[in-house]
Amino acid sequence: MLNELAGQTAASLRMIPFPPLAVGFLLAMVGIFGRGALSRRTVAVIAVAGLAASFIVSVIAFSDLVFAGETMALVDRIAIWIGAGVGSSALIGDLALRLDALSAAFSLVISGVGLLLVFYVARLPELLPSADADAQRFFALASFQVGMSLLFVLADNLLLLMLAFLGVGLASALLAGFRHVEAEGSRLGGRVLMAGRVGDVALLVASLLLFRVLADTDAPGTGLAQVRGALLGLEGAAAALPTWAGSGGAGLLDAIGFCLVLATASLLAQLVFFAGSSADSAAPLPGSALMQTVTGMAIAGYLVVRFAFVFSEAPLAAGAMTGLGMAAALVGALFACRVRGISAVLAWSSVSQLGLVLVASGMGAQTAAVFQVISHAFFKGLLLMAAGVVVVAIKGEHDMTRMGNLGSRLTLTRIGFWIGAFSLAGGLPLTAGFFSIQQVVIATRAADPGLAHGLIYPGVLFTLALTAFYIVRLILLSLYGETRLPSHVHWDEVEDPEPPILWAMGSLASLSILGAVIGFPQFWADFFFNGDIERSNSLHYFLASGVDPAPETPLDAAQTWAVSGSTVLMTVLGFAAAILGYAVRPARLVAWVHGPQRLWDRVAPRLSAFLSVPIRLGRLAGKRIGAAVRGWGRDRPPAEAGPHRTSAGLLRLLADQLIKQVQSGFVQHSLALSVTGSLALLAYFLWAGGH
Amino acid sequence: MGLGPYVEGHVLSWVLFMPGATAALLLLSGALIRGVFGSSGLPGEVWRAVALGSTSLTCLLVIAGVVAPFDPEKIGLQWVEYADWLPAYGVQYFVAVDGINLYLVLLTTLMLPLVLLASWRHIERSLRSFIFFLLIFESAVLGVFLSFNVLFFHLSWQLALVAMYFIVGIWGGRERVFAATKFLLYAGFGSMLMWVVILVLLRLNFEATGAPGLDLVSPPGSDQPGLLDLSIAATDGGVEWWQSQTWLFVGFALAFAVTLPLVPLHGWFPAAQAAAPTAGSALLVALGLQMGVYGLLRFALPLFPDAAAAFAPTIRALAVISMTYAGARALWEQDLRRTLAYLAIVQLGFILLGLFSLDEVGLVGAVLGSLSRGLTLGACVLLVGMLEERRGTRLVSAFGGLVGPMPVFVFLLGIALLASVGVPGSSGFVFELLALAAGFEVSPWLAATACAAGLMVGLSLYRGYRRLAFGPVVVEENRGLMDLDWRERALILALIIPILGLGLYPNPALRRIEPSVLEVARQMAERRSPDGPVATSAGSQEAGVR
Repeated sequence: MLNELAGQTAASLRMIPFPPLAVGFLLAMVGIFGRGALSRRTVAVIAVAGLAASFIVSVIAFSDLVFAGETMALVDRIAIWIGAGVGSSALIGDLALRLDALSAAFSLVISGVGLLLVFYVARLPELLPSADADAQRFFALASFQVGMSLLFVLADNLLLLMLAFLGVGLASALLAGFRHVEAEGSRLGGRVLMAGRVGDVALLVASLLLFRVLADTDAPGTGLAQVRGALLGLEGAAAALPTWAGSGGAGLLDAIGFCLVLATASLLAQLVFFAGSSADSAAPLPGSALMQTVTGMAIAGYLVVRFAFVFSEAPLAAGAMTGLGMAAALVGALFACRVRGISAVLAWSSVSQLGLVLVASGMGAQTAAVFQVISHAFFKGLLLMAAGVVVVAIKGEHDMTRMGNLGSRLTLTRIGFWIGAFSLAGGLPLTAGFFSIQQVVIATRAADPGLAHGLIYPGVLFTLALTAFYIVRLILLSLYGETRLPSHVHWDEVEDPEPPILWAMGSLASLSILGAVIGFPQFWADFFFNGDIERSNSLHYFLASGVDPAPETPLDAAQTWAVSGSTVLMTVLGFAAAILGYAVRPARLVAWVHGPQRLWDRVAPRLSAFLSVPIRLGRLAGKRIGAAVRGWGRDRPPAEAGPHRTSAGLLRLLADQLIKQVQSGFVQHSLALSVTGSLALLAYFLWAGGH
Repeated sequence: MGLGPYVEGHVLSWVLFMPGATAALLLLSGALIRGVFGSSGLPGEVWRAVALGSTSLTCLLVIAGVVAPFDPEKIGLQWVEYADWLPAYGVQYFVAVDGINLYLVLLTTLMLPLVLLASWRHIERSLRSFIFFLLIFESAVLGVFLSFNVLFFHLSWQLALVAMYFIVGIWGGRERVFAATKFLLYAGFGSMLMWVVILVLLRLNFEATGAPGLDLVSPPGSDQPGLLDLSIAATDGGVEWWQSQTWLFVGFALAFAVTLPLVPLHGWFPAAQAAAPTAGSALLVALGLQMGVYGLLRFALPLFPDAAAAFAPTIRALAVISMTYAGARALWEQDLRRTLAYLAIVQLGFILLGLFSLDEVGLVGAVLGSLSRGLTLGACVLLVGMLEERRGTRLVSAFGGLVGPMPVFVFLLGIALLASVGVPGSSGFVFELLALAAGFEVSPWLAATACAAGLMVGLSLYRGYRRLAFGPVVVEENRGLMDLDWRERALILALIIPILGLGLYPNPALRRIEPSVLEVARQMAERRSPDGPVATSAGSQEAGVR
């Protein structure tokens, strides 16, 4: 523990977030103060170079960490950042970075997938608006957002964590409001910003409560490792903690947990806003892609796993997170089944997938949650790239019902789509997605029986079926069947992208499959290799020091087979339903498949209306309260009423005539009153002194 | 760095009197020229240029002569200057700098040249008088921040209020007379209370020592005790009621509460903000409001620690009520300047929460909060003024899509607004964090409510900002608006850079503030009577948090 707290010094860590942050700042300054100073190509090269530098340092730091031993952490202490107070109430936060197993895994994914996505956008400029200034803005924001995400996962203490969280939220809002000149884009940016701010404040309250909890321990502080160590070290935590925030310390930990759930929910809400506000037109695909893979999804995953030590002591908060995750998984998948925009399907899919991550983490399966985030970054990155290729190939059209048969022209892209789809749906053993999703399902199956948990397991299986359905529906509608292209698209011009883009897609496709080795479950290793491989789930053992993973195989062999069978079965059912509904289309089956969909089409608007009831009620109440508030202490007089119509309560008590005199605007009246009062008081004190 | 024989050793006097002396000199020269040449005196442009030079020089003098050589390790006062003034009435010239007023003095001297630059074009009426009052205001505010004699503090305080009264009343907008009168009434009420308390202190000190004295601490090289050596009864048992800490504290607290401004004594503030010219409005939020916070920390808390502790829960509750009220008002406010006024009250809530936690972290937060409030709101008000100068209105509904014609303006306003709602990376975050950390220790629920109120005002500001800056350009007039020129950019950046500097690397400032704050905490602890009330709330005592 001591080693872990102290960590080994590694000054190179600052070079992980620094290059993208510096690039983001530089490009922003050039964009604002010196428009047109850099060409589009130069800007793209600078942005890619910044991210590449960050990725290279991440790889080096990762290897350093591996060679340093599993329990070691690397620390880069740059300066004392905030320091105030003395003794146990001192609030000290260093400008320091810490690389442990969890942050190493996330920094690799964020910098790596971020690099590939930004490179992809640089090579496919049609995805961005044609103006150079807009491209510059995108690359500045993308660099800044990835840099802040890296700072978030590397932050050594709660204060730096908050700073980075804000940075990510701010960049998300600016990316969401990329097309701010349109009302829709402006509104989307505003919503994302507000959601991020709610998350900021929730994280602030959680951090301050955590800090207070530990003020009486031997090791008060804001360092993440310190906080975790001190909290875990509290004997009988519930009894020793202060009671002011609930009945017993457990109540306080639940309060902290709820704040963390709120912070996570704010990220989820940002993804929902991206998905819901007709993502096709408002937020451009590249910004949305970053959010869905690394800067929103990965940040949320990191947050819940990093604070797993709080959730393990706060069952109510953990339950709330599981419930939130399940709701998001189902609602996201249902909306993905309905929408027609190709990027909207993928955005709703990300909401659903983040829901599954929250379910896993809430159930205590931290390795499964991390693995799901990692594999999702790979396959969703691939799917988003492929979707981008389609959109560019057909001149910006997003509606899948106006595509069809594109696979015959985009043959390599089609392969990418299928690899991503198999990994996302988790239907094909040997993809990364299969093993990650299977661990999530196992965690829900292995949880304590009970009504709530009893609903989660079938809920997750149903989500899998929906996932398989919507992703195959997407592929079939866009790549197969009859051509339904809009008239301005020339069929001959539809073709696979240039090789560099294919390389980027190929990298993610490889990772979507080969990524399986990261968290290859022991059960399957024993099955395939007759027990020759020990500790096959490298991620599980790698993370053992940084988080508190559940037992690697909580189920026996028979149960594991049953869970795997169910997973595959549900995926196959989803695939089959989509193929029958959108490819084979036998009349009766089409009716059968489309029946529920038509039902959903009818239900969905009502569900949306129902979900918006609180918002509408809030607006209504807001108007009423606003009218009431405007009436309070009306300190602005009507223009024609004259200055004496003040409502300052104190003055109302005085005689009306006197007030009119005093407030007539003539200084002499006010001064006369002041002098009279002063003299009266002076006289009183002189008199009092004499007696 | 040597400052020369005339400045060395008297740097604070130079800083304090330079603006006022410049004003007097300009007045005299004008009169002389008028008398000799029969013209209308010095032209306004000369006044403006000389005033800018003088205030800039004052600022440079503070940076080079006070802030740079300031010793952060030293506990106690630095650059002390002491002289007899009216010894028979206890008035001494006693100025000094410590960690608490260091940055406020810097803020004051920084704001004046910026405000002069900001109003370079749009003050046309009585330019010379306008500059005269600005210079007098600067000297008066510096007197407030630098003085360690209570009566000199009070005189400077009064002078500052009178100067502000004229600035608002003469150069303000449509309702300027109403606003100025309201301001004077509220401020006069506060000053009167302060005056009474000072008289009582004078008398108590006279009874204790046999000599009149109103110095806060014992002057260097003198055996004359300061007010902090004076024993003041915690309650009125055994002494006249008006001699107890309770009533004296109430007097001081009410006087300062008016300028803070704390609800329900805030009525003058939104009106004054809306009516004042940009320069007056910026000076009011950046400097005027900080005088109250400074007065509480410098005088009210150490002089009356038992009463402060007894009233702490009430004031914390009032602070949070103020925040909630102001947050709610801000939600429906269309006038940008008024919205900023409510934002100032919300920030005040955090400052008071830190101040009346009576804990070192909270006190440091309050000092930094004053500075941050001055910087962030000063920048916001100046920016809104620049917009008003272009369009003649401050109503949010008159704008939209400004990012097209005015990208630099939108960018800088975004930073200033984010900082003013305490977004991480800005000075606002650091002080709110410190204040809340202390607040959570003594009243967690109040602190949580404060967070919610802060969030509320943040959301309303975002909404206003979005309507102003983004979306389609609806009003055609906005399409041709000119972006900020280099003069405007430079003066806003002069405020934005410290905001970000304090947010991204606050420790150097905290290191300078903290020893003095610890000294105040020590003075309070020493002067507390053993059976006096305790600082923390009842709930936390029961829980045994500390």
